[in-house]
Amino acid sequence: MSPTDSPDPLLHVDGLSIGFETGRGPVQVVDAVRFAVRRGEAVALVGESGCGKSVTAKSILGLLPAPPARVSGSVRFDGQELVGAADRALRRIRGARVGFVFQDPMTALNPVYRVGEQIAERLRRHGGLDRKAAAQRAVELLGQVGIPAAAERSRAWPHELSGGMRQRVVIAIALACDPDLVIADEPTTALDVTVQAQIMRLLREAQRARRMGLLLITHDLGLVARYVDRVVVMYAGQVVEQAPVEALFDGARHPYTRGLLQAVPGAVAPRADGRLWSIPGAVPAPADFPASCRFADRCPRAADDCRATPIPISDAGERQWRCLHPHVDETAEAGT
Amino acid sequence: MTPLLEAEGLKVHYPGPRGAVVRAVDGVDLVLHAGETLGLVGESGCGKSTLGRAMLRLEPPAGGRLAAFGEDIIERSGRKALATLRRRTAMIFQDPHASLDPRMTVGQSIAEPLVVHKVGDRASRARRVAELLERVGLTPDVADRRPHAFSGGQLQRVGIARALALDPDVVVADEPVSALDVSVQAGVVNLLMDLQAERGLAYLFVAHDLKVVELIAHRVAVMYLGRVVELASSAALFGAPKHPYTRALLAAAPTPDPRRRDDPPALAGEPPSPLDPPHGCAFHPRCPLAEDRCRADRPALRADAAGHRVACHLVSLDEPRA
Ligand SMILES: Nc1ncnc2c1ncn2[C@@H]1O[C@H](COP(=O)(O)OP(=O)(O)OP(=O)(O)O)[C@@H](O)[C@H]1O
Ligand code: SF4
Ligand code: SF4
Ligand SMILES: [Mg+2]
Repeated sequence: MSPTDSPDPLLHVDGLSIGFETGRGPVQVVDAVRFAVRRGEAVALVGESGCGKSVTAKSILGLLPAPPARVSGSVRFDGQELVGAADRALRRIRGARVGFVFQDPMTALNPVYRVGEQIAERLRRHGGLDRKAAAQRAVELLGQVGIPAAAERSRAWPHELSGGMRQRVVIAIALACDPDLVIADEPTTALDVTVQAQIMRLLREAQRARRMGLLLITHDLGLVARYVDRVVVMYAGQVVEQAPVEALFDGARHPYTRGLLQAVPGAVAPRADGRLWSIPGAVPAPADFPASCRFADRCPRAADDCRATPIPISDAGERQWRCLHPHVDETAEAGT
Repeated sequence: MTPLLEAEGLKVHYPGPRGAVVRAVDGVDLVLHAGETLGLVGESGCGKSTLGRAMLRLEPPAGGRLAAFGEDIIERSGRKALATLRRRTAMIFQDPHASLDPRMTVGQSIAEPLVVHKVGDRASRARRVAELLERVGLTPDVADRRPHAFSGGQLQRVGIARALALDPDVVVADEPVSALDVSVQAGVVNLLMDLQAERGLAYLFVAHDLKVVELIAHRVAVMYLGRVVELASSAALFGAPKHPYTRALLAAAPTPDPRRRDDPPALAGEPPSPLDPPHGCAFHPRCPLAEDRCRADRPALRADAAGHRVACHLVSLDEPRA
């Protein structure tokens, strides 16, 4: 059974479309996106810049200002419909049941409050703790996210901390009220690789220990391989493939996913001439998205039918792909 | 053969807060040979970009020696050598949007080094621009457009065309593909490799993406807090890293392989501030092997018989590795 059909996924996004009013008229940037995140599952939303990952993530909890954004479709969180829900209901869910971690920790922290106070504030407002209990719990949380000398550091200002420490504070805030879901949009892109490993490990461990859902938005396939269970690949505003992580890396069906995986240095052997595999051309701009396959101009398998009609999603259990001529599963074909 | 660029004990300092000194580059020996790619890697703030610029004397050195094409370029007598340096070297930057003048057409930007060095007339420069655009995979008719009309990958190709305008011997590329998407990045990396094969260019390739460096570089220098801690051929550095920091760095970079997912994070802590570098070996607060002498004495960069250099008290250079 595919995750989107399972009876009660924690987060169920279906037919989500997002457009923007621009000076030159409306453009549709996200088109009928459908995926789910189950409890205790880490899912990556991957794709290249501008493919619509971030606006999808933001729209889930009403964080896209509308106008200019226009959001339609359905986002159900724990059974509750969020598209069109009242602001108050959304705010309550955002504070307590869903935590956020964004790329730049400084945008999530208030520069004029000490970091401990910012965690305590969340605990008082959404967790019902009193001042003293909240302050104490804030220190505990800082310790849990790996901040040494937590009691002392809880009195630090955000600007006194390094980038990695700040991102740990943001994670502590995200985890404060024991959320069911954490949405992390490029949480380590601004950090060094040794610190990135620490932060991802921390998120993944918290996700497992608390049986939370984790939606990781990233363009980094190395992180995807190492830290999630399932992958949703987006291209030009559409989901083009979904699969469990090993299945995806072992045998991607969509030519774009294949191309992307091959283009990562170190992922596959380079070409015989020592060069990298690359995908020719560039992603079309949203205003130029064709009604048929959006990858056709760059696709080595493109045929006439790819340019004729919209491409439907094919579905086989845990795997989905949007392609008329997908790569078949070579290992299965070979009968091994 | 004389190296193209040669630094000895090179230092670059920046003024820090309250009169403090940031030792961004703190005594580096480095040579760049004709036709090679030397990768320069390390975490943010380790000084790799500063060192890259300093090698072209785009940062004033606070100490040490620097020579280009065999001639000193620090002493006053080096003015002519400095002019040669400007003509025979070029840079490619991380953010092509920031490095190209938004008011100039890309054709004007590419021709600018020719104008500055008074090469050719208007017509020959236009021909050269067209030829360069084609060489980097763009069509000559885009010469009239301004940067905002291009994607990041296209604009980086424009930046490369501009760097090639004077047919340089050395290109310092500072994170040239870090801002690009994977699928676009691969094409630009290939272009850089093709250009080297064609023209015998030497690259000083500054990057934090180790996989790209492994592919493109012949030799690699690893920096930590203003110093080179390991320098070896790409094969030796990636195949048998010796310095504890290099090993940690390689282990931390996620491999795109879901079966290797539970590798523990290799390193605790973060790089310390260059304002207040630790005594002895600057890596000791994060090093799993640190012992007393690491806290007291700074290890020198020593080479083994094969020329693999490493700055660590505990690495023995003579015995074969277990
Ligand atoms: N406020 C806005 N007005 C108009 N267009 C927008 C707005 N915000 C985003 N877009 C467009 O929506 C598309 C998707 O943007 P989004 O930020 O989700 O991409 P992304 O996949 O997160 O990319 P990145 O990897 O660069 O973060 C892009 O074409 C972008 O230009
Ligand atoms: S539908 Fe056709 S053009 Fe599109 S990805 Fe599949 S094979 Fe390529
Ligand atoms: S000198 Fe000591 S602290 Fe420095 S890297 Fe070697 S073992 Fe670690
Ligand atoms: Mg984004």
